[in-house]
Amino acid sequence: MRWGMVIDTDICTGCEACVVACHAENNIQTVGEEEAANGRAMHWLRIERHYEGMFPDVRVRFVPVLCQHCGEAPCEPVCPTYATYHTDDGLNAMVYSRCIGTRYCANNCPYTVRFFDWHAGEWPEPLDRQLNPDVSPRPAGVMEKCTFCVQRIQDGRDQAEQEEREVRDGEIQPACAQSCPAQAIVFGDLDDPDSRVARRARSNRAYRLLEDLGTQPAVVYLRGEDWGGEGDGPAGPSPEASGDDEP
Amino acid sequence: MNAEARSAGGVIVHAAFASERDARAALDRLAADGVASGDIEVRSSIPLGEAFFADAAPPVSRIPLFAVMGGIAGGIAAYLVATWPPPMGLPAVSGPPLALIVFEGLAVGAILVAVARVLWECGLLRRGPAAGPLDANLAAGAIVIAARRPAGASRDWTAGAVAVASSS
Amino acid sequence: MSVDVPGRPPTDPAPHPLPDPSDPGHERALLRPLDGVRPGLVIGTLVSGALAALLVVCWGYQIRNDLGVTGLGRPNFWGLYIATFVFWIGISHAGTLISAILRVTGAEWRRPVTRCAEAITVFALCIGGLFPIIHLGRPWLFYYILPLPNERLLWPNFRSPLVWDVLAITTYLTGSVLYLLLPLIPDFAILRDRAGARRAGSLKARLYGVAALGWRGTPRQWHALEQGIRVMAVIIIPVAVSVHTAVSWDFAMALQPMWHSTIFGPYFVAGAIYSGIAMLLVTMFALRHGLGLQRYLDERVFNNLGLLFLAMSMIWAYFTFAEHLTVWYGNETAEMAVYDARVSGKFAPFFWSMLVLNVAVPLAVLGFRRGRRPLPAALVGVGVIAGMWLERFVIVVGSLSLPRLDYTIGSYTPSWVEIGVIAGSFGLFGLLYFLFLQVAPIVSIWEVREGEMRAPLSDAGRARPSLSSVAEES
Repeated sequence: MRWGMVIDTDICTGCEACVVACHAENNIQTVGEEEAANGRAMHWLRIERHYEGMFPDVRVRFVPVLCQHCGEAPCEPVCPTYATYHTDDGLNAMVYSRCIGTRYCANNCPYTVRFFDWHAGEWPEPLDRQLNPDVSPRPAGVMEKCTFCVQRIQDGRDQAEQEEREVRDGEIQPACAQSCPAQAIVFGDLDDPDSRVARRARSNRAYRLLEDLGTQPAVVYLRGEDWGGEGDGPAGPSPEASGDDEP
Repeated sequence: MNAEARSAGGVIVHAAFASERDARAALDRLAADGVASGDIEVRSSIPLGEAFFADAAPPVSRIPLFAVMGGIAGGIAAYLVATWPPPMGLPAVSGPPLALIVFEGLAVGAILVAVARVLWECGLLRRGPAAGPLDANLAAGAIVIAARRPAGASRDWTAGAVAVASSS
Repeated sequence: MSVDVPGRPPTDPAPHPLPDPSDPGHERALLRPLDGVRPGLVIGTLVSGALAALLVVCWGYQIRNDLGVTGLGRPNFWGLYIATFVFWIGISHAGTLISAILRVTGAEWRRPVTRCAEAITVFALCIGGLFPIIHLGRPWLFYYILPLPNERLLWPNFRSPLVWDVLAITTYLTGSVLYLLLPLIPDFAILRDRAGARRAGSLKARLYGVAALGWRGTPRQWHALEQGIRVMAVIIIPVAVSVHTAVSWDFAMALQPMWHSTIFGPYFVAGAIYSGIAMLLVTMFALRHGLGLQRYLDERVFNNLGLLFLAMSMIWAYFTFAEHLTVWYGNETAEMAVYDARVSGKFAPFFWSMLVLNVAVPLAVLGFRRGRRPLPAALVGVGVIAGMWLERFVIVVGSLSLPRLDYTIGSYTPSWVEIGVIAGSFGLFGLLYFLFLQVAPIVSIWEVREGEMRAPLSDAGRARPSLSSVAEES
């Protein structure tokens, strides 16, 4: 079993409902305007906007970037305390209580999808009533990142075990997949050849971010058919590269 | 002359010499007078050259051997610390990091055991003897030789010495 | 005086006159800081103590108010603290080069310099070892990184370069402390005997007596001690190499553009020795003029160190050029973004200042004999200390600010907390050094005496040859 995700960037409208849902589900703190300007915003899932072409032929591509739960995660070997490790079902797990905050994992993540709690989150009343009781808020000084909503995965597996059956495809939805109005995010078991994610991952539009680094990400992106370039480089396809595309 | 011999009683004569040449001459004369080498102690503020002990057997020091043994022990200890308790069933260490870790264990083991052996061979860390009468000269750079007056020697034997000390 | 036995003809030549215990002669300069309270040293201790207090205050503020008080943020997860950590560990390589390598190769001119260099090593290591704890998000849990058996069966991750750092720095610190203390034993014995002769049983004599561990100076003890020092010198050289290599691998093992470079191991070791000599030159200059040690830290020593310094400058320049040429020629997009920022972009002022301070100035000044005199060499040393700190800064912040997915580019402005901690670390170094100056002789008395004794006497008989001719004879 390997949990994975397929994100269809052709359908994504960039509405950021997934970002908001992720915040709500995982008790992510809101850092405020000043801290966000200092690069401390805690968006476990971010929507990257890439512009292609020159006016008047401009296109915008929205790419939701989250923790890729890499099969060969570069963040895992460098954590001195084993606060981040790989689970049997393909998740890159984060253990907050073991983290002492060296931030080496964040430096070694080529996708820059790891976040550090520079201050502890604050939820003055009545905001504390919105906190999800299934997810622990993090203290200051630890790393955090997308967990594929591991609390929902755990819940779904517990439910299936109680009912003495396998987890059904599509039964477990992380908050982002659940909230996307365009249903651009699909989650499931990549190792199950019949699952929705596995079938979509076999599409000829499929690509992975920074594939040449060998990180084996579990998140597969589907590109639009009218785009130039092979997917994401550090700067995305340059505006000049779209010269040979067809509408 | 070790601490036991020093406290064995009798009169001990101390003399200070400014150069190795003078000290060597004094040692030769003491030997001619029949004073056993176990009754003589030479002290200096700098290591004396090899020419000073040309006729004596070189002292055997096992420090390099102990350093190697300590290194092996340290290396094995480092290997065990790094690999033995598999943490949570996860991969413990791979080859190159293990080499570095074993190397550091080797080094720290060699260092600690070598220093311990140095302290042992020097006889340090024991209750020190009482201060001698010529320590000021020793600190200023002289070579101090202490010898027990041989039994039966005349009192004139010590004439001309810089200081005389009696031990009870 | 020799023993005159009646009846034996006096055939021996006249004995050499004894050194006067009450007149230390030229060694007065070495012993004066240890006798009583010197106002200059006390003022130095207090001033550096105040600066060290700044470190404590700023760090305490940071612990209380979380790491958010620094200027760090995504993607600059590491900043000034890590740059300064690498800087201090680099400074600590002064002692190993002078003390160990020159001892093993039998260079006699090292004798007056070994102890002040080893002291720099020990104190720089202590301070450098603080910084990994300072930069932690939860420093009170730093012991998670140590292999301490616990009931939860948790163990550190030995694949992580940070754990290699802990092992390497601990080993090097242990070795350096012992390597500083071993040759100190005979000097403590000298001080014990002097203090005991002045006033038997005084507190000073007792304290130095404890420090001297009962040293008597017998030939057997000397043989064992010298063996031990020789063995330590041989062991500590590879340890020093491994320490800064392990520190450099904090960067080289990561996938960051312009970090993931195989040259970092030797590059950082060469840079460490380079910055270590710089700090040593500055310290020697201060000691020479502050304590009147011109006889020991003389022009000959500065000239030789200056030549070594120049050689290290060229080696460092060679490694820097090799690294940048490789990146530029490879033209990989992610790496070129960092390269361009460094050479012509945001980090250009730091990068080019670094090159001027580390290459141009040393070459221009130290290439001439007149430039290798104490004052010019020390000034170049100050410049190189700044230049090497800039190198660490450019490497750490320059790469992190330009990650592969350029949507997350970010800039970094250090906050007053970080600057306070770093300034305080220099104060702590000064404090430790000033305290050491008032407790132990900063030039090794017995080693210098031994060097002078080994030189053949001049025609005048019991002359004490000057140190420079000692060096030339060896």
